Amino acid sequence: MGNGKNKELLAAKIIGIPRGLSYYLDNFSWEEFFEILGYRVEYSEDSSAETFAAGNQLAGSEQCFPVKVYYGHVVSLLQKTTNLFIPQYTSLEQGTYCCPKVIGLPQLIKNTIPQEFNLLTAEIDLGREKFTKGNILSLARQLTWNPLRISRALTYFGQNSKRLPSKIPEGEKFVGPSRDQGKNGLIGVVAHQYALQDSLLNMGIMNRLGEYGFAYVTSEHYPRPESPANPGYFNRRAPHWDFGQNILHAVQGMLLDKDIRGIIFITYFGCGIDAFLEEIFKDQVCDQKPYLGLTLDEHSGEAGLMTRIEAFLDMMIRKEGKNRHAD
Amino acid sequence: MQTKITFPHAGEYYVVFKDLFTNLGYEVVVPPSTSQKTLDIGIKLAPAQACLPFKITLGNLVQGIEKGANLVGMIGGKTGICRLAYYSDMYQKILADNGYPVELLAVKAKKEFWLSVKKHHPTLTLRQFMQTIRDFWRKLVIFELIREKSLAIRPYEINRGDSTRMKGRFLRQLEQTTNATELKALKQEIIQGFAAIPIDKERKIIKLGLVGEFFLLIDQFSTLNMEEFLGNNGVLLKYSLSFSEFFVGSLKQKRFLDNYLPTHNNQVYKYAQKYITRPIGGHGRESVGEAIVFKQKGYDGVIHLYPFSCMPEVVASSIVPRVSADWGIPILSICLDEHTGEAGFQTRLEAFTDMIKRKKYPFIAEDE
Amino acid sequence: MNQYYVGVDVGSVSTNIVLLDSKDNQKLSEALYIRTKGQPMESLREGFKILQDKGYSSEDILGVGVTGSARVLIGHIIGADSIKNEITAHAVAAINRYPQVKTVIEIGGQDSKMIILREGVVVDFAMNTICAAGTGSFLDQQAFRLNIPIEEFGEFALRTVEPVRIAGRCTVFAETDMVHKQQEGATKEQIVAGLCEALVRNYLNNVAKGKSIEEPVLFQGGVAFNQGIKNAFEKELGVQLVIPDHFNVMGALGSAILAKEAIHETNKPTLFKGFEIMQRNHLLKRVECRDCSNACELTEVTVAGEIVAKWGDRCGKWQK
Repeated sequence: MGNGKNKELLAAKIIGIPRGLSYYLDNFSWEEFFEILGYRVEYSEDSSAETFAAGNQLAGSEQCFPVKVYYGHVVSLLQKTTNLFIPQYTSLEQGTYCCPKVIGLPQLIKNTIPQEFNLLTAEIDLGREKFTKGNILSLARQLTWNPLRISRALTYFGQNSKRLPSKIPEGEKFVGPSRDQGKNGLIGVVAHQYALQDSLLNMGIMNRLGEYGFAYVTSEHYPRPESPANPGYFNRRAPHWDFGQNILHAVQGMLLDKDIRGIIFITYFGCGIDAFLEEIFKDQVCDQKPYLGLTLDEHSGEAGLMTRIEAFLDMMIRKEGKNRHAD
Repeated sequence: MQTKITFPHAGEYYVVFKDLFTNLGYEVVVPPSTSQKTLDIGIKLAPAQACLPFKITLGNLVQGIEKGANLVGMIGGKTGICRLAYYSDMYQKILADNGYPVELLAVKAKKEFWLSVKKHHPTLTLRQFMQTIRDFWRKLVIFELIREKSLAIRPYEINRGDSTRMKGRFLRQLEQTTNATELKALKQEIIQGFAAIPIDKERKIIKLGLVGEFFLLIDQFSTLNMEEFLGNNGVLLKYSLSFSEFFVGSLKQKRFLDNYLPTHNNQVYKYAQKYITRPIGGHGRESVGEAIVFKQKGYDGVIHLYPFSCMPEVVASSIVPRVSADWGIPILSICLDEHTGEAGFQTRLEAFTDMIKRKKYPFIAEDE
Repeated sequence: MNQYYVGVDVGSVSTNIVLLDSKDNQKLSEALYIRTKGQPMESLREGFKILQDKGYSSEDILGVGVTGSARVLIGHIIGADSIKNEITAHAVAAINRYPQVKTVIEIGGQDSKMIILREGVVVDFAMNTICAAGTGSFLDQQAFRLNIPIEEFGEFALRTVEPVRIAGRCTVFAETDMVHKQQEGATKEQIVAGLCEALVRNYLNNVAKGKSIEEPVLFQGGVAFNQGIKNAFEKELGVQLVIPDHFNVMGALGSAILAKEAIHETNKPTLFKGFEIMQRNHLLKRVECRDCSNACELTEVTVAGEIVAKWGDRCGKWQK
């Protein structure tokens, strides 16, 4: 937990949060949490080619693309502040785990970036409430002596640190950018949260969909069923990764959703979890809906990628066109 | 239907597992030794981004099933962070998709193991079961003794190949040994046998520790016979982890046991604390901690092996350079996959050992 | 009468041979650089022939060291006293030339290396593991595409001050980007300079990542001839690169020194079979040893039906 340079920390009153990986994990606002404790939060800029280039110099060559970009966020933030908050998300639920790279993230960054900085972190295991609360408490204590602020921050964490509710109210279902089906139809985009939200990581695929007259919903808009241990649909035991369960459930939801014409799955080279996930659902998806699996990394040329997406969308337009005439 | 069990070959460890399953009342089908063909099967059936251990073990299983097995012994459990915990489900899916519907038996130090065996063999008593486990354990210990001895002797041997031959001989003997008295005698024989190998004590050797992903540490095929290559090059190798420790490790959910079990996990975690604070799956944290333990024990260097796309070890491999700098121990991280060529791999191993050797034993004779 | 140690570096692009004076570690009596063209045996035969024609006799050879990608094969055929990897060989040669050296950048035909030394001892090294984009063949291919002789490549690069940025770490992507930049009107010079920078970037990202590069930095290997690359390195790193006199045969020089060490250590006469050995016709064959369950794949070399070398066994019985 940190490294005890409290004076410096207290003086600066600024905490930097890199926008990548765990930043996108839940809907909890660390900004407010730190504000209660009397700190201003500084975020890194949107990912850009420079973010990647800066990160790539420090990240190991076998690290996946999102991790390399994360390094870039850290590097750019370090120019603004030397206090970095990198939460250590180990689990979002009892019996599941985040990806090893996310679990090891704070120490990975601390031990591979040459520049010295104050690492603020707290292990967050939402399956172990007491344990997590204890970690949050010691995090808060590092930042202020004021018991009032600490207790308010803790209460704030306790009330807001819930994952997406397992059941979204009927009326709000599929709160995607639109439930209108576009000119040509609705596409389901499945990926880890950070990939969906960072346009460097997803290489602007979503914008392209719009240009081609498709609306889309992402896997984020598919809440998980109440019993996390049973996606059932794919006839397999639920994988023990939070991301994995989420993705499997979203794929299942999209397959059952008649409005969705086709599914795009975005993953990265070296992603161990996705390698297994795709194997689980691929056959079933391919049997039922047009499916495009994209494995990206920093070398994916935009031209080649767009060719594939275009071909996929064209195929659907032609197919849908036929179906419409047939109706 | 008679259940015929097969299991991943796991280097030479098959000797002990074959025995375990036989004693539990199964008919055992030992898969052919891991070969390029095994790997090719794995590559064909497994997802492209799956790790090398998955591809190899899958290939083993298919080869075993083709020889008539209908039950698969899976070593390791269904819990954990890394992909190993999902191996069994993936095996089942991929094997079924390819026309090999089989049952799975999870082998681990847990109650479920007993219950599943009991289902196959209702007459088996708990007492018999425990005895089998005890015998298995005894054999495992002897097995590891043979392995360790051969590693310790190889760099010193005068006639190249002596220790390899000796190891082969004892492994065959071990395969045939069944009772405790014989095992005891064999143990003596092993100690004497290896002691009798002519050695050159003066030889300038270096000591290297091996850390990394568990499967790579036991499987000679995926590490391209590194053990012998290095031994013949004057390297005394020591593995950071053995199967017996792996099993003991799986008991450690009961934390208090840590103090009583014959592993040094507490020490390892203490050293790793600065770099990796909690388990990140597989043996990522152990790799870092063990490297420092090797340094403390006076080893000259450490080799860190991990399969491509192994999530925990990729994290460890990034941190390893910092460990190396902080503790002043050379560490060579090598990432292995099915494309690893023997030439490049051996060049790097050789350059690494040369680097350490030339530092330890500077060449003195200059111009004549 | 002079006596020599022979150093041979059989790489994918070139086969280099040096004769090191047995009395003077600094004196190279011969340094040959021969294109391998995919046939290491042929090129070595050619090299040995040249040496014989110059009047060197096998009797004057005190020891032979071999390095390079074909080192095991060649080492067994000619009877080498030392068969060592390229990294050690290059490091030894670098220390021999510049005892103070702290960093060695070596770019060869198919691989590239970085060696970090402190006080004459290797403390760290790295090799390219992924692809050829940081190596000499990357330049070779692009030079061929641009129709520029590789020898003039460096000069081309020096003629411009504004290189274009060429993306992609792999040769295929670089090629695509190069064509694209040509369409945008970049001159040949700008592209060549851009390629040099791309190679240097690839090298630094793949091979040199995380290494502390301290001066003096030695730049060796065939590519060191290329001024464009040297400039690109100096621009990127902000340090001066030193190019040793025998930059393109450093591997061979290192293996000659290693042979000398080996001879001194074992105190036995050399195993060298003589320059003439290459004049005979060697046949290579892969055979499987059936003596035990290991079933090792052996390489067997025969001359006129007689087995002269056999290796690849795990037990060691064929290698005596």
